[in-house]
Formats: sequence, C-alpha cells, structure tokens
Amino acid sequence: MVFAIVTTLALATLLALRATYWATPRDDDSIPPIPQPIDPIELAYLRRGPGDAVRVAAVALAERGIIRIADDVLSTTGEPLGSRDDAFANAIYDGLRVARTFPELVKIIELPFRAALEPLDRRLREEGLLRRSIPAGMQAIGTLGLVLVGIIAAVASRPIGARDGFFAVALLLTSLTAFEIVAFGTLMRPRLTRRGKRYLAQFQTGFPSDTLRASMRHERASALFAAPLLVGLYGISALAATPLSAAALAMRRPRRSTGSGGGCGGCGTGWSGGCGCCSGSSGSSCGSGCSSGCGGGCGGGCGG
Amino acid sequence: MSAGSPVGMLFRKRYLADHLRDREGVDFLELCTDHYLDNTPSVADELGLLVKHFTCVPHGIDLSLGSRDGIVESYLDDVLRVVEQIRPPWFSDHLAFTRAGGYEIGHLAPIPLTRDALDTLARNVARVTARTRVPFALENVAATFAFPHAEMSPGAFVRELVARTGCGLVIDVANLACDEINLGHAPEAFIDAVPPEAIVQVHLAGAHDDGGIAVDSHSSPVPPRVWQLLERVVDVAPHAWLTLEREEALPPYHEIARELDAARALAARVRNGRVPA
Repeated sequence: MVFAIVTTLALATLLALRATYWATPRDDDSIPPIPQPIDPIELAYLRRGPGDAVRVAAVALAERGIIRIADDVLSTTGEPLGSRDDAFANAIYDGLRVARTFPELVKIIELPFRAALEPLDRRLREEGLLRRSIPAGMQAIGTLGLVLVGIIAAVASRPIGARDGFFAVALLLTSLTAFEIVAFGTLMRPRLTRRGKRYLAQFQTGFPSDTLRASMRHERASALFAAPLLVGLYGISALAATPLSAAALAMRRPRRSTGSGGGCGGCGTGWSGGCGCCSGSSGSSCGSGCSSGCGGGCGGGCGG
Repeated sequence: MSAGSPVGMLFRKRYLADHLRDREGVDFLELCTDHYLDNTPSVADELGLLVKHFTCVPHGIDLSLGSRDGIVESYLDDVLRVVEQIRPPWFSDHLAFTRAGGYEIGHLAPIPLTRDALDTLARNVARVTARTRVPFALENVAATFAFPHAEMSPGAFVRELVARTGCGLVIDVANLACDEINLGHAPEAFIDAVPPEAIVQVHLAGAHDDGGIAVDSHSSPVPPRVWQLLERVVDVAPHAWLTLEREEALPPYHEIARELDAARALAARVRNGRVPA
C-alpha cells in the first residue's frame, strides 16, 4: 500500500514537472517564418545541437576556400577571415592552428563555441523551439535510479505476493510500470519541441536537399550558403557526392557517441556528434528522434 | 512591396529556395491554382509555406469559361477552396474553353468573337463571381487560329465582357505578340480598346518560333517586342502587377532576377516619364 502511494505521488510529481518545467507552446501556435538572412548554424544547432553547429561553421569556411579538408585532415589555406566573420568562424580558424582532425578541433573550440551558442540557445528556448535539456549527470542518475527501482520491485514482488496476495502484486506492477513509462519519457524527451519540428520542417520543404546539392554545382554556391544550409538541415552526410564530400568523411558522425567529457551529454548536447535529436520530419533519415536514448542507439543512424 | 507596379513571377518549384533566400526579389508569386487542387500533404505544405512568406495570386487554367456546357461545379469548388486558403487580392483564369461537348480538349482554345459566345462567357463568369467575394480576372490567350464570322474585334469583345461582368483583366503581352504574328492582330489596338482600370495584372514571357508560328511556350527570355508592349500597358495601367512567366528551359535564378529587375526598371521609367494629371 505504501509503495502504491509513493509511486502515485512520484507519478503526480513527474506529470506536474512535465506540465510546467517542460511546457512548450501548443502545436497550433504560429511558428516563426523563415528569417532573412537564414542562419545555417541556427538550424544545425536546433536540429542536432552544438556538434552540427561546428560542422556547419567549418563547412561554410571550406566552401569559401578559407579551410581545406582532405583525408580527414582540416587545415587553413592561408586565406584570411573577413572582418565580418562571426565568433564561430573565428573559433574554428583559431582552433585549426592546433587541431588537425575534427574531433581534435571540437575539443579545442568547445568553450568559445559554447559561449557563442548561448544567446542562440536562449532565443530558441524563448521561442518555444527547444526544450530545456536535462543535465547529462542528472539524466544518467535518473536512468540508473529507474532501473534500480524496477529491479527492487521485481525482487520485492515475490514476498509481497506471498504476504498480501495477487492484487497487491498487480497494483504494485501496474503503478510501477506507469511510473517508469512517464519517468523514462520525461528523461528522454527530445530537445526539439513540436513547434521546433514544424519550424524545421518548413525549411526542409523550402530547401529540399537535391535543390541545395544542385546549387552547390553553381559558381555562386558560396554566396547562397548552399553547403552550410545542406548540412544544417540534413546533416553532414548529405555532403556525400558533392564537391565537399571530403568534409562529409572528415566530420562524419561517430558510430558510437563519445561526447566530450565522457558520456553522451544528453540529447543534443553532444559535441562530437552522436546524440543530437533528429527533427523527425521529412528529409531526415532518422525518424526515431531520441526515444531510444542517447546512451545507446542514436549515434550511427541519423545524419541523412 | 514597391510603390509602383509590383513585380513577381509565376512560381516554379525550381526557384523555391531562391525565393525564400531572397524574399525581396519578388513582390508576389503567381501560383498555378490547378497544382494545388489535390490536397496531399506535400502540396499543402508547399502552399502553406508560400502563403506564409509571399503575397500569392492564384491563376487557373481549367474553368473553361467559354464552354456552353457551363462551369464544372466540383472543379470550381476546388478552385475556391484554394483561393480561400491563399486569400489573394484576386484570382484568375483564361478567356478560353478547355471542354466542349463533354470532351476535354487539353488546350486553352480561343473563344469565337461573337455575341453568342460573349453571352456564354458572361454567364459563366457570373457563375464564378457569384460564389466568391474575391475579385476574378481573365487573361487573353494566344491563338494559332481564329474562328470565322467574328462579330467584333478582340479588344471590343473584352471591353464588353468587362462592362457586363465587372471582371478584371490579366493582359498577357506575350500572347498579344503571338497573335500579332499568327493572326495579324494589332496588340496596340487591343491594349487601347480594353478599359485600363480593369487591368490588374500583366503577363510577360518569351515564345518560340515553330515554322513561322509563334508558340506561347514561356521557354525563352522576354523578347524586345514584348517589352515594348509591356511599356504600353504600364503606361495605361501603372498599378498593374507585372508577372514574369517562365515554364520551360528554366535558367539559373540570377537570369530570372535580371528580367524581374528589367521589368521593375521599365515600370519606374514609364511612371517617371508620365506627365502628372
């Protein structure tokens, strides 16, 4: 009985938490229009997190001939940055004084990049496009706790059944199952809100990947930001079979996430790539979002 | 939107990304109504995206306003559903028939210039305008033949149609240029005959020559003669919306942008050259 009460209370707390802390505007709220100018870094960050934002910034520099990418090695070409280049471009340019590969670059530029992304992150959350993410440590502890609760309940069900009968065990398992579903659902909620998905979907309708790939063959491609937009909307692997296919290889997403600083870092906060959440909308090859959990299966499949 | 004639183009999906990247490049987009009649998710998404980011004007092809059989109500329902979604300043179709005796012709056939045909046309236009409060306009088509026993000139026919129905006009100056070659009609006479206040939109496009016959194919840059006729229309209807149509042999967007700029410049030149009333 005590267990059922505690579980019900925990369930209620979780539901309240979801309703308040992770509350986002309803689906029918008007989504922001496509801005002018379009910021591919914003799109990459929204769709996958900081790792893809770095990829987009690097691809933009490669498209302009400021950095060279060949055989998994990134280097500057000697072309200087322009005075109007932003903090992202500067961070990459400076990072390449030391780093040679994409994972090395990511480690070096994480701090300045994170600082540069903060205002963007804040704005996207204020606009209801992103949810507040649960810190990685909290997520890991929560997951472990839920697994332990499940194991304890399974072990405890036998003596409870012997003492209090079948109904007590049924009640215990039913309430526990409900609790675990809601708790896992809360822990693993994708960072992108439904509003965010719809915001991204309008870009994917307006900028189909084949159109962007075709634009890359034109001499005015860099003026049109075709390659950064392609990566921002469809992931780095979309650059395969384009003039920047070397970038797709050098900055490919790892098969299993390593995440900077150990562990995955939660959906969308992974830097080297594995754990972002796909938009789940058309044009993305990964429809599962983060429902499978970042610790396990999200690393390899997204990116199309 | 610019103070003078707004300048836009017939929407082609090929240029969607360019339009979204450079929204200032067009003041409006003309949408082929028929493309949006099937309300599939991808079509609905595209229409939603366009309507959200641009002023859109629907332009249909299959109302068959010249048909004695009358309007196909289910088709009109679908057209009006699209019009309702777009909420345009007006919508349009053609001065033509595409159905006759129960057969689909598959082509915009010209209407005989007779009183009888005018009655039919006026009746069908009234049927459309009775169903919506959004203004309705009609476009002159290019013809490779003319029906015999014409009772009036093309200009007089259209003038009377406007007087009887209150419809607007979309003057396709490229079609007038084709008619000049194919039928010997004088475009200037047509432009001078129609009521200028009814002209809401102008189409300009390039044609191609098929063994001496000018085919309204929208497949090439706007030729000098069409620019010349455009100037004349803009002079009499300075607020008409100018629409570039390109449907075949689609060039890179910067070439389209050049023609849009040329139309804008022409309109400004005509406007500045006008003597204030």
